[in-house]
Amino acid sequence: VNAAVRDDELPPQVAEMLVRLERQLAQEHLLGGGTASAATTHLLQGAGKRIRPTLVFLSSAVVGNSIPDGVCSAAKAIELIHTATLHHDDVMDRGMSRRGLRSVNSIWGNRTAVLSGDYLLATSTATLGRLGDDVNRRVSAAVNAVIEGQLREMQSAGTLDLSLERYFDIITRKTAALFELSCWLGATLGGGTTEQAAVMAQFGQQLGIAYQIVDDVLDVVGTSAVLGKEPLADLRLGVLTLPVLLALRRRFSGTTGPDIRGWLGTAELTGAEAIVIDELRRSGALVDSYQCAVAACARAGAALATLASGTATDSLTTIADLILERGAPFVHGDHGDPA
Amino acid sequence: VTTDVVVVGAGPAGSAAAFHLARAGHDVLLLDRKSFPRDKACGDALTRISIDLIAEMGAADELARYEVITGVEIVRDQGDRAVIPLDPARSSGPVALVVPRVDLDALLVRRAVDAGARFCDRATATGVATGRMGRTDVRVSGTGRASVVSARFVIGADGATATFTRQTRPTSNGSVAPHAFAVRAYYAGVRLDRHLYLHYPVSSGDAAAVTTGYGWVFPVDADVVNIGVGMYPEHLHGAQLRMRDVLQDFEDKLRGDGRFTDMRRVSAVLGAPLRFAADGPPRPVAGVLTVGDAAGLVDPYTGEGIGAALASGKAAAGAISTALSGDVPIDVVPRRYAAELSRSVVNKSDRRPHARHVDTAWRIMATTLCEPGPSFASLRREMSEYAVGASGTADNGVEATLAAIGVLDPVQHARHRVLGELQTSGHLVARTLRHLGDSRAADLRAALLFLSAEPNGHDDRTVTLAACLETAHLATLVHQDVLDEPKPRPNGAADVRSVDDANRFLIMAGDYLLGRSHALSAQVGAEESVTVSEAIRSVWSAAMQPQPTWSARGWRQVYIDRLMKIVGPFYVLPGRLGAALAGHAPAVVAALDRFATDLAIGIHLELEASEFSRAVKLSTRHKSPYLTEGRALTYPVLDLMDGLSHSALLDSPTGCADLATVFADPEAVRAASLSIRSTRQSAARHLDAAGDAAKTVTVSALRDGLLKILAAGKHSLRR
Repeated sequence: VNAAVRDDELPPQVAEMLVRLERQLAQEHLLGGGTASAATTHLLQGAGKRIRPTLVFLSSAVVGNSIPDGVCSAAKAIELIHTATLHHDDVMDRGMSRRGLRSVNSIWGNRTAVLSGDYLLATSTATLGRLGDDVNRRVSAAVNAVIEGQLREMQSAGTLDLSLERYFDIITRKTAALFELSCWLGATLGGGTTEQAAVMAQFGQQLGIAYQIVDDVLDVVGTSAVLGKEPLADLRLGVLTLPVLLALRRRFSGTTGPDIRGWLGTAELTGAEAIVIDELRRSGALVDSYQCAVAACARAGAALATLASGTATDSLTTIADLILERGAPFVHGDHGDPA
Repeated sequence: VTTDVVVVGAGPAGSAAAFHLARAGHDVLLLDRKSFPRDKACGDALTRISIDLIAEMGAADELARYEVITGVEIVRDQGDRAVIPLDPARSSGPVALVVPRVDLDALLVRRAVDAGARFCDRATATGVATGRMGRTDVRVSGTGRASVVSARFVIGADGATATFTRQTRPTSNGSVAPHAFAVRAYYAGVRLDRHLYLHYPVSSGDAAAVTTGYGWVFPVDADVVNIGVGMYPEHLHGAQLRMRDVLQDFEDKLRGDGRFTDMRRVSAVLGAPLRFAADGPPRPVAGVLTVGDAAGLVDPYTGEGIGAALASGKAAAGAISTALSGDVPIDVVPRRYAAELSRSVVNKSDRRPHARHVDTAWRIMATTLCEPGPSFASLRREMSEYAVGASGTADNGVEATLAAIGVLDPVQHARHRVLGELQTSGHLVARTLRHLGDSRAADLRAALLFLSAEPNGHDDRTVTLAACLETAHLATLVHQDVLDEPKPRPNGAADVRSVDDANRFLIMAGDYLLGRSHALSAQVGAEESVTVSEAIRSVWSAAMQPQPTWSARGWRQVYIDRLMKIVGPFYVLPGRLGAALAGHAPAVVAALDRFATDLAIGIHLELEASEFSRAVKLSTRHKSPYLTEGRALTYPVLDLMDGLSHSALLDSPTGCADLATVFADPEAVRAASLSIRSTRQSAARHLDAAGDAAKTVTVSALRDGLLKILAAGKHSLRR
């Protein structure tokens, strides 16, 4: 299982569920053949980290030992929603590879990539809608948050004086909402109380925030091998990541250094990469960003600490640690691959 | 001097205000600091809205002297172009005219004076103060002498520079609201079609920096044109000087086109700011209203301002008039004016967009000139019609039927819900997708839901469901327009078009609509969410299947099957969801299913026939190779290609089919009319089948309603 966390660090019933999920995804033949079917199921065969379904299963395991069927279908649906966003993202960013495979758009074209993503999303919302009104409304809110977050990000692209508040608002929607939903669904469908589900939702949200910030950090200092894409991709698109945002605020408040504003939204950096990276490092913006991720993980941990601990909560803590570890070597100057 | 109202500035906004006040019997003094008649920097184009408002001022005859504009031509830097016909047959009177401002403004002042307003030119309003008895004093300096005019109301109509108005709307830090800048001059020796030519992008000479904005060439008369450029001065500091350079560069570029070889400039170059927002909130100087450019009412996407100026002048006059007549207290006037302004002039969400959003809209349009998809058609229409404030709520020909079967109210509610969803997404989506889809078909689908849901047809749940289905339908239209990478051109030249901007926009907009659609269904219930999700899933699945080509065997059936899968659910679902709410028997649901399926196919084939018929007419009338209409591979187009046994409609060096050349051959026109007729016959067969299905419905009110919907569909779509 290519999960975010090693099998032996998971409760056995969760590890088993993940194996089952993997088998289901591999056998997924949603459309019964043809281009449409191949395009729709393509990325499901790839080496995804399955972090969201893992959160669904673990959140269920936190509140009860056996994992009900509803949790399994929710976990799969969440993975399909996430995959749907990848279909769309890769068209928007011209991504050529994903999960160790060629991207859907690079094989079947933009239109099919978008429509097959839509198909996955509709499949998921149909599945999740069958789990009742509460689940349905929560799913709807999360899906809308993800979309709204992306819309706001697009609308704020290139806004140099973006407030930190706005930044956190955007990432809480575009990334954390699905983490939050995963944990809430697991706890709720696993038979947890409303309070337990609320705590897990809080955990998921903070974990998602940390995940996105580390992603932002890696956009600056990660290697293509770790990222699965070129570094500084967000910067080139004019998307304001946390390190860039913090560096800009420093500059406006008097600290001198090379002006990185000119490179925002510039497709061709023509050798300026090193200058930009160096400035982000030198100004302390990189370390400070990383500290924001650490703080989010601490908040996630604090939420988790209010629940009875066990192997499932231990695994969730491990996931939080792994998220931070993903960025640590780069921030602290050790350029080795954390894997 | 004492008067009811002082109007400061005699541009279109001021003259309109003065005219309407004077006509209502009030004492009006209209001032302008310039000596009339006077010239003013402007593109001189009048839109449908402007023309209607000027006609309302009794000047239709004067406008009739100007030659009608027949199309908008969008020209892209690399030479791609598209013609959007402004079809006078679709409305009463001209859709666009070009009237030089020196004439227009003098004409409108004359209308105000004829209505009874006093007019003083060379009179500058220099200050404003609260006077006695709730009056407002305006200091005026004329030729050599100064005086004070005491008025009950003052209208600030002093244009983009707003020297007078600014005194009533001071900003704390003296900052100026975002604005663009435009320059123009008149040139002789240029003969063009009666088109408004919009050139995008326009680059400034140095550093090849592409700036946000467009260049225009508007034909004034036989061989005189108004040429100008307007742009956001984000890269242009010291705007006016540099803008002249941009105009010069634009002029030089135009000279490369044979029609401009003999061009010579016959006027001074004039410039003016284009203001999209007032600098600050109005200071509460009692009884001062601001109209037109002074109020920042220019449309940021097109730069058009005359329509909004005339409408705001009329709105201000209306609000003041009710107070002067004693119908309402004086202090509600500003609120009444503001309410009327946002209703008639422009939606609030359109104000103050970032220049980048405007540029995004232009860039998407310029890179998709030849794309027939409904999203692109909507965007072109929005950017070329200059129809600021025209909402999608006008009667579209089915309203009488909807009223007769008692569902007009909920249908209108549903329409507003959908518009509301579009608007909350931000102005770019709201603006560019305003004309998406056929509103008549949308209303008929909604009517089907309300009718099937009776007696629950007017419930908020039902209205929410209708909005949910329509939002989902729009999403399917938008995402089906996503563009694949352009194929290399036949001559081997690299295609410089990038589909990225268009795709990013389409994906975000479609995702947004899908999200909202799901949220709306979730408001009703999980069961409804599941039903809608399953139905949309089948639409996506069908949309991924390749479109049939004319040479494929049995393409007609394949085409209709595909149509049934892609649009059918948006007709079948209203019936099913409505029947579920009403608790209809299974036999009724089955009949509704059959009715809806045949109605869907009938309506869409009929729409395709009408669109292609219009495209053929336009091609023969405009003879322009750059018409985008009729390029979609619809049923009548495939039928024509099948009939002619060739694909001339598709294959052309630019990748854009040149229908004008195809239809220069009368044989092709005859063949096209046969294809259109055959499509209509096929549509009629399905509509008849829908009628047969409706007749099997045992609930009499529902049966009668369905037959009326069917009749309304047949009638309105043929028009």
